[in-house]
Amino acid sequence: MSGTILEPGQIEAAASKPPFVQLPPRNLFELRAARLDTLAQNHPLSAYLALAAAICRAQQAVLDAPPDVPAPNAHRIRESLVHGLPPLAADTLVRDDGWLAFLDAVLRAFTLAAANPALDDALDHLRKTGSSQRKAWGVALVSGQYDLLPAALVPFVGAGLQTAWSHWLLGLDLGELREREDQAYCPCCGAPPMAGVIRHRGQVNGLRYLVCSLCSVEWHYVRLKCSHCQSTKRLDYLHLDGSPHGVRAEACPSCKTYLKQLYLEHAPDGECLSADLASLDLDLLLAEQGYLRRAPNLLLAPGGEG
Amino acid sequence: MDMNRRQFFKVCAVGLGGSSMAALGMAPPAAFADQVRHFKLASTRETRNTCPYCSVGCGLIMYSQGDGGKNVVQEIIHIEGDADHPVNRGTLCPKGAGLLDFVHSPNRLKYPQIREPGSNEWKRLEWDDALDRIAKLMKEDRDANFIERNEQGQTVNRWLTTGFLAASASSNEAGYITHKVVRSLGILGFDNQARV
Repeated sequence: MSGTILEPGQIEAAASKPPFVQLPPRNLFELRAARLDTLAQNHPLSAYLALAAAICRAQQAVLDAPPDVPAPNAHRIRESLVHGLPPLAADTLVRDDGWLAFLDAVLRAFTLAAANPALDDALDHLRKTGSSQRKAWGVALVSGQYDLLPAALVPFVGAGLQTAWSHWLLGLDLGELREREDQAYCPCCGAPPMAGVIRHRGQVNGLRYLVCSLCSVEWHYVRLKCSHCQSTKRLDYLHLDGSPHGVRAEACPSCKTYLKQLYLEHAPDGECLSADLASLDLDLLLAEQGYLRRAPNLLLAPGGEG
Repeated sequence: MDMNRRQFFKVCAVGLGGSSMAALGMAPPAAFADQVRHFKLASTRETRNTCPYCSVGCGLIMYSQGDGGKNVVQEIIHIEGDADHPVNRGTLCPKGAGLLDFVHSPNRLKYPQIREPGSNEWKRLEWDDALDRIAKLMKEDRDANFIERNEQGQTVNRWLTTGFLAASASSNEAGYITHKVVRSLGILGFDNQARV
């Protein structure tokens, strides 16, 4: 970040405002899978990281050949953009049927060599469950109520939701999306962020973007500011001594919450979802220190509540 | 969305037993939580500041380490441009980019020193003594050279034999106070250093 050298023509670019949102690449889930495979080597949670990689590969297969379901209502999207509301509002769309086809497709595409009885049971359970129950689980997961659905099903329901929203997101024209200060929730779907990422290249060098837990869009959020209570006082950036993942938790002493930040400068191949799952040891230590985490990761039910 | 019913994403050693991992038969080894407890949590504090070199006032982010305890001195380990700052958008000039060395320079002046007239030696002195001495010398000079009226007998209250140079990246408020202090003494020659 310190090594920015401006080329002719870049001064004008540097003087303009940074882009508000960054769309995820079309091969997002493939990148996640590859990164998870790398991180799974010699990791104490390697079995779970390998499972998450398999889920991400299934998500990519579905994103490449999405199921044939009607797109979300174009009028609603346009009106939402005009009035500054998230065009793919999660709390409304999750109650429609659209995303269920994506969940089905993810389940069809999912394969894992190292299967086990518990995993087979979970998949069986999910495949035999009717759409109204699935939808109720989806609603619970999107609104962050993990104890309303079986922990074993969370990663699959979450994967179905993510794939649907990312597919819709990539088909959206976001030209009318306006930046607002202190945007603590996703401007595209209204879901909370999963983590933050400090970019390290080009025009966005050194900027922090929050990564949506549901649709994976990234939106600009000023650095050194709590993404929950907007406090800028005495934030700490906590990490494990010698942690290889480039992850630091932005911990706010005033609201006692934290959000993990991925510093791409320290982990150039890093990606937020995989970095988050690979650094649960940090969450464990922070929980013991009394810090709370609001940011969900849809591929894991933490099971820590109550 | 009803945010009040949203649960915390709490990962705790006992909790992992109820997580998706355990439910899918992929629980971490029992020793995992114990191991983690022995890891040391390090803290890097990030602080916004303004570059002190010139009046452009580029935004900086300074990284310092220390465990955040009250009596622990934070050591600055890295300084970079603040990409959110509208003035410099993360960029720094070569002098600004070298700020870390400026902070840690062994030649940095950390206390007042004096070289007496005719001497070639710098002597260290206390802040109180230094300020007293400056005040005394300023008063002597002002008493000797203050111009109350000009040739036409008009009141001017000028003190032309002393000048004043203030720092570069001062805030408006610091500039206002500088102006108040210096002008009320009658000094006309003063400037804010716009470049170093």
